[in-house]
Amino acid sequence: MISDLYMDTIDELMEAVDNCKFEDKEEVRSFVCNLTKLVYDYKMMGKLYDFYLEDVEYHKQNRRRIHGVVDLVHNVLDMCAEFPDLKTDIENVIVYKVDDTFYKVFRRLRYKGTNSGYSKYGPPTGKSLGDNCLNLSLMHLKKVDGQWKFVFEVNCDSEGWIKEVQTQ
Amino acid sequence: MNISMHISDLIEKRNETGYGNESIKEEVEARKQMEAFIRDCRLELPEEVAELFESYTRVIWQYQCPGMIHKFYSDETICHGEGGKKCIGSEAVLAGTIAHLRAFPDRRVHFVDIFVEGNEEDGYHFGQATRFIASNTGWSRYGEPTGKSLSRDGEWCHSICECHLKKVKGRWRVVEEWVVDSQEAIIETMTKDKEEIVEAAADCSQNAAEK
Repeated sequence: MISDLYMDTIDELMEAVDNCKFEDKEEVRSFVCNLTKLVYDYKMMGKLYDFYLEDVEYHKQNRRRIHGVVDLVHNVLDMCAEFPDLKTDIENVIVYKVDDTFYKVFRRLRYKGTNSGYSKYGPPTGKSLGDNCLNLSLMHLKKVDGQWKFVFEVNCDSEGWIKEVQTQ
Repeated sequence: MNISMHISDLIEKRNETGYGNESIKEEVEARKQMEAFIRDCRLELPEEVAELFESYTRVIWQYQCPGMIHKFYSDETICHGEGGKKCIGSEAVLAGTIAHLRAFPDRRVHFVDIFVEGNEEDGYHFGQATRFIASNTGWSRYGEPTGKSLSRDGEWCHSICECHLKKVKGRWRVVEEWVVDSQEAIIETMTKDKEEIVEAAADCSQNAAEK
């Protein structure tokens, strides 16, 4: 059954992210990929609370700010509700180790999905994001009080394209 | 290494002291030092590449020397934008850059971060995020200058990009680039508000009637 397959994958990804030791760049690269898949593809957006600082500094495009992890989770919920079949195609992850408690990460991915849920632009359009929804983000991952957390992020979407897909 | 450290100091000072505070003489001096660094850089270490591209970005965008694009962008460089946009070649990149500089001639670049992975043999991948302040004081495809500022209510416009750098026929080249920037905010800044358009139209009508 598909639900079993999904749950098996969720279990694997949860184990991978929860047990990550962050000891080298390859581990961090895998962690970022696994967490992205878990949150966006497998709709486990609550995991963001585990790995984002409560008052994370989070910048979006077009002068938008996300105010803390609660706002971030709401933002991801919006996207997943508007595109219920949302999947992420991670194209590249760059990792730079600053020191044993600090990594800098850059992620390039494309969102894929169909607008089959309501958005602020109106009812579902049925249009697809295709291969055009590029997302780039730059993140700072730090060890804070013994736990690894994202403390800073600049995350830019193809906002114009997303709006076009959600508009009749 | 000495050149690299000096450039770092310059960049740090620039970020601290703010924008547009330097005299033309100071700007020319800073630009020349960055140009020398760009010319002499061997791209042997990721940290060097990060400093190189920070200087390179500033020389093009802040010191308004877009011709430098040809140093690292070739005829075959592919640039991916948001919404499926793509352009190929340094000429296309140059044309877009000049159009933007013309619309925002006072543009100042503030680096949020830049970091690099890779080596001399395999090439480098780097990611960078910048924020910029600028005002639309030049003509654009959207019409006459609006005077509006890109940053508003204490919030900045961010631009983020990834570049893949490789040695092609003995020269370092950006072979591919991905950019997402605050397109909507940029277009809105270059576009007159509807109320202004209506007011301007009303003024024209009144002037015509009085004649």
